[in-house]
Amino acid sequence: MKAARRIFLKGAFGTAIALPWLEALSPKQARAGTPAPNRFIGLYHPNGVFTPKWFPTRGASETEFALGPIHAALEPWKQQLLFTSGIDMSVAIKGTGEMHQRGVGGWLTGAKLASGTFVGNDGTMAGYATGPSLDQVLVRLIGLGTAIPSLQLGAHALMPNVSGVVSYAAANQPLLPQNDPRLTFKTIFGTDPTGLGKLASSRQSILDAVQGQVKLMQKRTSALDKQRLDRHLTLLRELETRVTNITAPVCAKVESPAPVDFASETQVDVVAKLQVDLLLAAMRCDLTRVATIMLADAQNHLALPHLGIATDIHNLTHLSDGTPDREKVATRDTWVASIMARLLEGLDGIIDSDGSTATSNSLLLWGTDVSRGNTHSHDNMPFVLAGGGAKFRMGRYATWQAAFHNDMLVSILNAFGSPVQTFGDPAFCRGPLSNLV
Amino acid sequence: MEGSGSGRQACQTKGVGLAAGVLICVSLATSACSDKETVPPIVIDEPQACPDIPGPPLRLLTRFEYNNSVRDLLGDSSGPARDFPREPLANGLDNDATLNQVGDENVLRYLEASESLAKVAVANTALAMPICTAAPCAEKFISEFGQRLFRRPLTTDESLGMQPLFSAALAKQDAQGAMETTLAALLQSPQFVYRDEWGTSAIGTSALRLSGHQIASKLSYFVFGTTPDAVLQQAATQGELNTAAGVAQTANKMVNDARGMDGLARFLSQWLYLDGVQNTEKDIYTFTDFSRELAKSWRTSLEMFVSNSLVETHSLKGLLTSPALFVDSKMTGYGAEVVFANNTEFRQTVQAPGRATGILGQPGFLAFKSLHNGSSPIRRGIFVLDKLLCEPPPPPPADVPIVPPPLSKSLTTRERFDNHRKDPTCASCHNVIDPVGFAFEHYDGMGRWRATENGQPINAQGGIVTANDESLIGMGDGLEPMIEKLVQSRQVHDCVAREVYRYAVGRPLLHEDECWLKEITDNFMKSGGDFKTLIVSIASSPSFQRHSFKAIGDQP
Repeated sequence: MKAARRIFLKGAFGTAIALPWLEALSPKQARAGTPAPNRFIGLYHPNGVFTPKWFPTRGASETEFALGPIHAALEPWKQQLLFTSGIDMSVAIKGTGEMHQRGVGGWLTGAKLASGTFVGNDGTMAGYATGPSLDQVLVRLIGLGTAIPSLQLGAHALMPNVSGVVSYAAANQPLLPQNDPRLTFKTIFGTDPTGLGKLASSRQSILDAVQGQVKLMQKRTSALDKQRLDRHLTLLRELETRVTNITAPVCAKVESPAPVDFASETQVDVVAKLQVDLLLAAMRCDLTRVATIMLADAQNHLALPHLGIATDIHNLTHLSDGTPDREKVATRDTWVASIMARLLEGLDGIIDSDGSTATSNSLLLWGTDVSRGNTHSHDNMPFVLAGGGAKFRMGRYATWQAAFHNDMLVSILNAFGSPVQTFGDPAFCRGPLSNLV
Repeated sequence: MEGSGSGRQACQTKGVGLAAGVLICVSLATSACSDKETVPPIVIDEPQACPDIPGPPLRLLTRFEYNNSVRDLLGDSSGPARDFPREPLANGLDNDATLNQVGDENVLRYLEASESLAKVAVANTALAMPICTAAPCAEKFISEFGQRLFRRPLTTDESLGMQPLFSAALAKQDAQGAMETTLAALLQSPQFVYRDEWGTSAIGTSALRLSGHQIASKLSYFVFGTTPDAVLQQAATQGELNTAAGVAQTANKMVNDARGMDGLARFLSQWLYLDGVQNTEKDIYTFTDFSRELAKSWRTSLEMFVSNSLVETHSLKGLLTSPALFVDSKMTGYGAEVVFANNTEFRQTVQAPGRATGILGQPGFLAFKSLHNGSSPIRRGIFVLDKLLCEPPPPPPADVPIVPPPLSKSLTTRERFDNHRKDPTCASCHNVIDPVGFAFEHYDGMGRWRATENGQPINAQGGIVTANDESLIGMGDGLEPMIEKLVQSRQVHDCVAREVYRYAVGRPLLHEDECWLKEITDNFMKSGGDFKTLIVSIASSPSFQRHSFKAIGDQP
């Protein structure tokens, strides 16, 4: 398998030279001297958790806690985890939209929803979130210069509205997730390495000409159009750099996934795993450092046949805690924990330039839109942080008293070099969250 | 043409003269073609009945529009835009220009799509693309085919901007490759991927009128759902779209064309959210014969119903009352006694006596507007209130948990939902929503007719409790009495008209639109809900053809 790997170096006149893959030219060597990159992954699952079994058992101190069965798969990374209780997603408690809409929109933005026309399950209407999401702000702090600024991936996150998106470039600029692993592959590894040099030079001249055409259109009266054409031009420039700079080593051997019926609930597990594996490959090659993954829409009506859950999981989350069927939510949570474990295992396998693992340089934030489905409340959100990227003190189960989740987002931004004191709606900000660093 | 002597227009006339009816500005690099020299003509403003609309943002081609455009321009039906990022929906519609914008995935997908489209197109002998081996040939190709792609003549700068690309490509590769490169660049150009509907000629000092080519494009995407064809471009070149009367005449021709209902069919597929119908999930313990294939058949059946009622009746009344029903072998239990030759065949039949006609009685619609384990008076009621009355119910209070009443082996759906209306916080809205939905109660969660539920006879007494149009209000048994009221109501015509208008203009409605909409609704109502009339009225409205200097999104 290793013999098949090739590394491409940029030769004279941009021609790519294929070399046999050698241990000596592994990514860390090729990029020796550069600091290890920081990474961020946001993992979202819908409709809260099975609260009675979610939280770890407390010990004598924050660092002494026992994981329950839901999180058993995460046991190997216990020292890299930070379980939280007492953090409220207060920004989502009131405002435009219904509870899932407000929660999924506010999770990474800390912002309220605009008024709009997306009808919730109950007839409530809302628009998109009114600010950028954490991951998109982090792109500018940790993701600059990578080929793919960020990835938004989904497994059955198909709703083209506020319920099907967690990432926002800016207010009212949703970045809907890609649900088709085949296209995720094309985004990451789309360029066919054979004849790359010729293709790159042709693409460069095409993109130059297209940029020329954008410039001809830039004399616009409307400020909105000007802004959009500016962005279009920037994106074309970035794309040109990406398709012509063939210096990124082919550092992960990844096959294009076979076509998968990604809109079918029978494939949710298959799609989720493929998306995670493709993301990890992209991170191994340092093609991207920022990603969000949605494991279904906030207003899904999915059965999860791979877990033996034959009825709508969303409706199961609505049952009262004592109802036997509600325990199936714990089964779902256990599955999401296994996806989290897959991410951490993959990051462990990536050795960065300073010899450390990617887990120690990454921050993962696992969250959801409501704390529990049967009350649709936003208090005591079941957030879990993982990885050493933010230099938070991990290996703990920490408790706050009615803390604002916006403050947690502020702390994450601070950890990656931003000095902000508020993020999202300032009414739900008191300053960075205590007891993290 | 008379009375509008812009440089660009003069150039077009010259082009027509030289090329004997071919719709291009063939004069190469003449200064008259350049935008820079174009002085917008000052036309005397006529008093307008209503205030001008602010100017629209650039309209990014939707995936639907992109696919149709390359199909018509390049004969390529591969639908490459299926891989493009999905559009966010604005109350069901995918073409809201204020939301649709280019992101980093778009530019990559445009690049990939245009490369493969160009490769296939240049090799396609049926298209008879020139394989140029010298610059003058390429210049001609850029301006001629560029006009088809950009939906208007290229400016000199645009044309000049493309020519070096061909020459440079020809130096490195064969003529075929150079043509592919040139075409790929044209396909990624913003003039192709954006519909530019910012007017070009000043009317007095207050407004801008769209050029004939812009109107041809706007009409074509609205009515045909695709890029303007040669006939429309010719009408624009010849100045036929420079007057309101000319636009009305052209729109009239278009709605009577074989493609005349294509745009409206697209609108209705979004209005009904057919993609959602196809992805409907059911609890297989409650509905043991549900399958994904059945959900696909529901969608096809609905699509065929919509298309049939548009072609046969092209009216709102037809849509709400046509007895047509399309079934295949998977759609059993819908009262149609049909024998099929094979598994894929659909047959047209009519609804059995006593079943509701029109869109509200369609199996796919009813199954989609249901819960996964039963019917849903709420979803069905909200559809009528939101999509037909444009009076969506207000949101429930923030602190109310949304829990559908549990299934029961003895109670009817009505009885289960009656319980939640005993709670005063729920009652305020559900007293409005539920009665509408109860009129649908003869149809279960699969859209099948039922006389009883849990051994009890169905009570389908229902109807509209409150509406701006009081003629809509009243209870009756089942759907028929409500449908009769809907068909007659001005409010329903106004609601549908404003949604079709929103689809035509591709942006949220503004307060300035209200005044223009009045006449459009008047015409639609007077015509007995005729969709052809509605389309022509929207296209003929000055609000479709002109706008103020202010842009949408600008601070006042």
